[in-house]
Amino acid sequence: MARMKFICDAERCIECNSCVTACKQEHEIPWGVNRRRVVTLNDGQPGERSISVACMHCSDAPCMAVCPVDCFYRTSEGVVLHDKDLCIGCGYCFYACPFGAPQFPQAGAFGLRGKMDKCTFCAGGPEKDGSPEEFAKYGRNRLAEGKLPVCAEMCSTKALLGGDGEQLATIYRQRVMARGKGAELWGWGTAYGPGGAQQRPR
Amino acid sequence: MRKLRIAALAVGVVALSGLVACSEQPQLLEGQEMGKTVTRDTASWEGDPLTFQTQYTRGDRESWESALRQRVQGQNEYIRIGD
Repeated sequence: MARMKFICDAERCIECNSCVTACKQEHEIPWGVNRRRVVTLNDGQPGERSISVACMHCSDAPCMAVCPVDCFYRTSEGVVLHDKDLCIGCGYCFYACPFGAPQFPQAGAFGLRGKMDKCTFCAGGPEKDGSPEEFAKYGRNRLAEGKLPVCAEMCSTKALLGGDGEQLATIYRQRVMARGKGAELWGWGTAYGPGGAQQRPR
Repeated sequence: MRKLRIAALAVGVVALSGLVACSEQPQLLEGQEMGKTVTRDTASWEGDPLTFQTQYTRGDRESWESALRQRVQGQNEYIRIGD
């Protein structure tokens, strides 16, 4: 199959934050942790643009490369996941990530960090699919249920798209042809290489 | 003059040995490969049927992929709503 990817169409995003809300609600994300957030560039200026940002599940994920305990792995669909049982909360992945995706819940006094939390592409983690243990650590496993990430499916303007990269590219191409502008995909090259190059799982 | 040469050689050797710290050593354990430590996860389509799953057969990869392909098209209003 399919190499799972996200696309955020800056021409369509209206900064409603429903992707953020849907994600937090679906996975019962604790206060202070945002797996997804909306970033606005040139706020209040002509040409202002908003984009929804989370883990992009990069082809050559820098978080994977820097993790000292190798807690990251990649599924056959290209989704980058991690094992919280191995994570030591060192924060290296946060410094490596170009999207600022890794989040660290406060685990105690004096700024003590808990285990890293990030977008799972709604694919859970290494625990048994749909189990209470998986939900408690990683949130709901919608991919195993045959569904796509809730942020993309909830998006009212369909600015945020999630799913098979080739299908998404076709949808986006059709849009750009129809409106005649806005072909730029922010973060796409950073995450998937020039031209959104496909890379098979390691 | 000879002392000066020996001193210069010694300084060169010390300077070169200092560069050893600049080389990059593999950080993983012997025989370990990046991204291969976690092996206990199963594929998304494998396992027992789930309570809130869509109309696909658990264990059948083709069925799961087909369900997802259909779901992606739900994000395409040129198909969902029409031109």
